[in-house]
Amino acid sequence: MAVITLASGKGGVGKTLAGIILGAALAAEGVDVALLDADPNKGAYRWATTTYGGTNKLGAYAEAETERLAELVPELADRHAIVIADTAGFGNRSTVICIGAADGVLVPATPGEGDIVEAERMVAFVQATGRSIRRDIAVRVLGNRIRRATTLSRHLLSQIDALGLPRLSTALSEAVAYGELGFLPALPTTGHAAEEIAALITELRALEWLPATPSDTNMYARLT
Amino acid sequence: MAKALKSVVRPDAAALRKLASADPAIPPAVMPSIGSEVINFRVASSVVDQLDAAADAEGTTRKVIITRALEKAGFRIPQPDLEDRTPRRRRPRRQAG
Repeated sequence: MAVITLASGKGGVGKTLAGIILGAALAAEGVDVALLDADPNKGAYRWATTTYGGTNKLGAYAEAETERLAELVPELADRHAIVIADTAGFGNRSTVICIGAADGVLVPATPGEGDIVEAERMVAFVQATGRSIRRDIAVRVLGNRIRRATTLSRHLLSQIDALGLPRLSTALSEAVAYGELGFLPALPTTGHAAEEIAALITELRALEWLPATPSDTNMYARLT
Repeated sequence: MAKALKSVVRPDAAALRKLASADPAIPPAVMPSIGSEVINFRVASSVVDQLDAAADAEGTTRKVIITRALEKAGFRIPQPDLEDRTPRRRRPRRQAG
């Protein structure tokens, strides 16, 4: 019933990683999740169908073709409690569909000048899309590969704030566990990565992008 | 002037398709298949008889009858495949009266 889209016009910023994390973390709680891969590379779909070893609450779908995706997204939103949509790292019609159908859009950004420019562009695009279809589509930048002790990471976050871009206070670090995740069937349960994933879920809950509890169906009614 | 009240309803498939094609400069994530292919399949003669009867009644082809039925069943059929593209000189002459 709620759709969260991962979007950025730039590749390699962490859209698929964030999608896998959200999908697997919610499925582990018993939430009925659809992980929809709208990226022709199908990275999230491949992980969910060949590597993931968790609950059957995580349904995996891959569709990047415009016409079929336009049919599939509303259908999945009706059928599942949460739809996590991963998109390709370039401007394309499938991403537009996933943004138009979203209740919330996460825009990952890693420390780099290009990521800041792209985050600003994507936030503006999400807001313009919401205006064009008269829907409130929430949007937040999600810092990725952040090492808070470094000047570069602090600069990225300060630049995002200076541009007035809404961002999550939670950020994902450079933990090796995220790289390992592509080869592992489940999310890490200990260490920095596990703490960050828990903090991400908690913050999204506070924003009411996610259910307060897996059975909090009223929350979904509020979102949709 | 009417107020632009915000919608809480998620756009349906038609609205999402319209949104996706609003800016023609934005490309599809995957390019649609182009070109055409020949398909050839065996069916019972009774099916062919029905196709011929329907096609003759409309002065069209078996292919048009089939593609139109596919479109009705939900398949996306390009417009040229829904038309009788037989060269005029090769079409059977209709009998007068």
